[in-house]
Amino acid sequence: MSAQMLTFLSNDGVEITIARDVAERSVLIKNMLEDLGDTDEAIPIPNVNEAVLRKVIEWCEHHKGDPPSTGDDDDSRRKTTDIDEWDQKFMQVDQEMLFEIILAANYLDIKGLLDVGCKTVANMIKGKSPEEIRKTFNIQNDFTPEEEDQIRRENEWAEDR
Amino acid sequence: MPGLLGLPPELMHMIVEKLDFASDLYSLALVCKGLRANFAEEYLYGKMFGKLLSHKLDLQRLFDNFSISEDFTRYLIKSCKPELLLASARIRQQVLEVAIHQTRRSEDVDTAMDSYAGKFLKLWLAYAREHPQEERSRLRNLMARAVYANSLPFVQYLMSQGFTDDENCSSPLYWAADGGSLELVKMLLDAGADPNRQYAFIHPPDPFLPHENPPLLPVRRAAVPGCEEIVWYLLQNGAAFSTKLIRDLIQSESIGVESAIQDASSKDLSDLIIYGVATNDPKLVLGLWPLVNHDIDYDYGTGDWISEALEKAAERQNLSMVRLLLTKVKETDPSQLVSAGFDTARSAIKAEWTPGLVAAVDPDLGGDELLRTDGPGLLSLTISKKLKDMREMLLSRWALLRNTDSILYHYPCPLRTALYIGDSAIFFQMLEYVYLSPAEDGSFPNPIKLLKFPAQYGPVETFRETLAHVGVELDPDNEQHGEVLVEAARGVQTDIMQLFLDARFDMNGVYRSDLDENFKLPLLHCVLLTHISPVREHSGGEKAIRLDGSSTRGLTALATVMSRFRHYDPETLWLIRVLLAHGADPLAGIEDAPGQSALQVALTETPGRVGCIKALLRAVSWDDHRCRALVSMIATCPDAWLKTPLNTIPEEEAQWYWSNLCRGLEDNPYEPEDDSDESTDEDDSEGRIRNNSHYNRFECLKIIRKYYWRNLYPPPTL
Repeated sequence: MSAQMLTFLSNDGVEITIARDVAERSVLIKNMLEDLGDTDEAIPIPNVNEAVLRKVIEWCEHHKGDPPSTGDDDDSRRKTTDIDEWDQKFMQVDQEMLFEIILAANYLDIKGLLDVGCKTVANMIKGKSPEEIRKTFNIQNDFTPEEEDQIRRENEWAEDR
Repeated sequence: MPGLLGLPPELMHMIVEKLDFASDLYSLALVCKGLRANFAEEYLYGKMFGKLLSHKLDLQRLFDNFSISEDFTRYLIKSCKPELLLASARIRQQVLEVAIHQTRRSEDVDTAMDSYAGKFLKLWLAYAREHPQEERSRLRNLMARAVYANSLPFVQYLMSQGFTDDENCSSPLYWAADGGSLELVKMLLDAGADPNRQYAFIHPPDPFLPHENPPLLPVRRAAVPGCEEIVWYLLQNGAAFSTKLIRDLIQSESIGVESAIQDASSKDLSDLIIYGVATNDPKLVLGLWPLVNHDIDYDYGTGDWISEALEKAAERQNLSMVRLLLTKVKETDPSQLVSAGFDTARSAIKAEWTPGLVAAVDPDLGGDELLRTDGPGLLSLTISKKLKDMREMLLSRWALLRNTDSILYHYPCPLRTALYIGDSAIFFQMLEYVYLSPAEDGSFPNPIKLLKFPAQYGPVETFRETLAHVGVELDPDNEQHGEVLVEAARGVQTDIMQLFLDARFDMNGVYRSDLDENFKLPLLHCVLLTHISPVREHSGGEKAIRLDGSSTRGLTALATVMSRFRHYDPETLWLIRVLLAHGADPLAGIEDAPGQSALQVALTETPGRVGCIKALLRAVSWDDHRCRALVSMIATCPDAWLKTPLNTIPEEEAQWYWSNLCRGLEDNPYEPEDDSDESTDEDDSEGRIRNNSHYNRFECLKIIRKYYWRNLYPPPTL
């Protein structure tokens, strides 16, 4: 059974065939297969394009041997932004792909991948000034100086810790 | 193209979760409005605190510089360990208030104290007890705060911890009453709170408590609309009742507490109504009206308050109030309407306030009935006060009512009053108004009664005119006409008496009069009984009038004077002298009618008129056997009680005894113990105070004895 292959159809019409145990890293797909039973037809993944899907599959294949998520949040919280080396490399993509992966992981409900994605974004924010964050993520500053001042005053207590 | 801003909120939060430092969050919040809004403020703060607290940030500094909203405080309570919130004095206070407030939502003590707020409160309590200096004031009014926050569970918890209602300077019951929570009031009362404790705020418990209110009793505090139940409950549980409270209740329109007010004395309430009338406060009057005892009990004076209230209203010429009161009387007990109307009318006349009188005799408010019963009296009042408008108004109403002869028998009679003040015009005007003109058969209801008025007051022209009006000819054989003569004699209307003489009336005849319905009196007696001074002119000149004529009661003129003049005045003495000078006999009547001589009457009926007795004795010869017998009988009476004017026997018995003695009647059933004369004299002054009538008798006895001893020599041995 473990060798059974499944075919997926990305939203740009590309069929990708992968092993079932890899696909079952996604809770969404796992639940779907349990509901549908075995199928030979291609399973459509409407929110994800080929490139992102392949990337996601790559991550799943690498982590197919990982123990399933324990659900114990305390451990993962303790070292919140530590990412293992392979994942770091895996995440060295442009920002567009990064957010696509996060969204796809969220959609497909792949907890580990989502976690890695969020950690990556958080790492991009850490230690940066508001201006740097704006630059990093290409965000427009829409505060008036007065508003900015007020927020600054309110949050003075946190500034120079 | 997806970007940071394009992530759904839950993903954004996941990312924020990964940020360890508040400064990163802070930076993020500063990036753009979208991101800032993305973090709901509470969430952002909460995140920050979670981070801050786990990194041991300088909370003191945060709390001192940060303006903390109530929402945020709630968040703090929820997310911070309670210990941390105790660290700063400023945040401690704020959190305390909010936490107390939060416990009110819990269903019972356990859930309340198990909540975040409850845990904090427990900890705070422990802290406050460890640092009593620092938290003294807050500890002291903790109960009041809990009550003020309407937090039943926390109050319960505090009470289980030994807090009571009477914490110094605090006033839980007061605030419970203020907050309108019956449950709290019940709980506090059950726990022994004193409903009559007046709480004084030496230090207002808190800036946000409304301490501009003066210290009050809880029950007064509850006297606002919607709190009737609390007032009722407090009163049931011993809260003091005061007129001030009622006033508050009435003013606040929460008057659904009639039964509670049962405890108030009716006097309190009626006083309050009178106050309401005096201050022109119809609301107060109306509010209290149903609560007062309206039963009239003349013996105890209940119900008098209505007349007092009406008098007050009339005094102040407050027409609407007068009408209001009369209307209420009519609603409550129509049988009292006449007397209420009379009080109003009388006061209105007194105040010369015509609209008040008009209101009092308003037919809708029982005015007709009032006029039927009291009309003549009111008319008399207006006549004697010469109030023309009021008089005319009453007369016109009177005419409408066609009330005729009752006017003659009413006292005071307006006809008499008119003549008394010398206004015969009004007298005749009234004759027209009251339909005293002849009836169809030509007769008058009571001409004699009518004739008596002008006979007494004159002048002779008015009398003549009245005679003509009623069509009566004076007839000596008509006994009733004699009565009219008596009136003329009493009024010293010599001109009118002359009319009677001309009609051959007997000046020495014995006539029936109003003075003494049981006996006929000689004319002179009638005069004597009415006036004294006018007799001066008559008794001297009119030799034809016999001085020793006696009335059918057997009294001589002198005795009549003695029997009538109960009050000492110089005129009496003068009159006695005149009568004596004309040969009146003070002892006349002893033989024919025992005990009725002038001297005896003076001794028995006017005891203590020492001057009279002296004058009478002086006019009697010692050689007169009647005198000796009488005087020696009285003077040598061995009964000791007569010498002692002590109040030792009942007044009636003493009087009876004394009368018998003076009249020479025998058998004194009272055999007093022997007393020596010395002790008698010692008791003298004491007796003077104790019983004046006995004392007067004693004085008389002394005079008689003096007279007796002076004339009898050598003194006999008793």
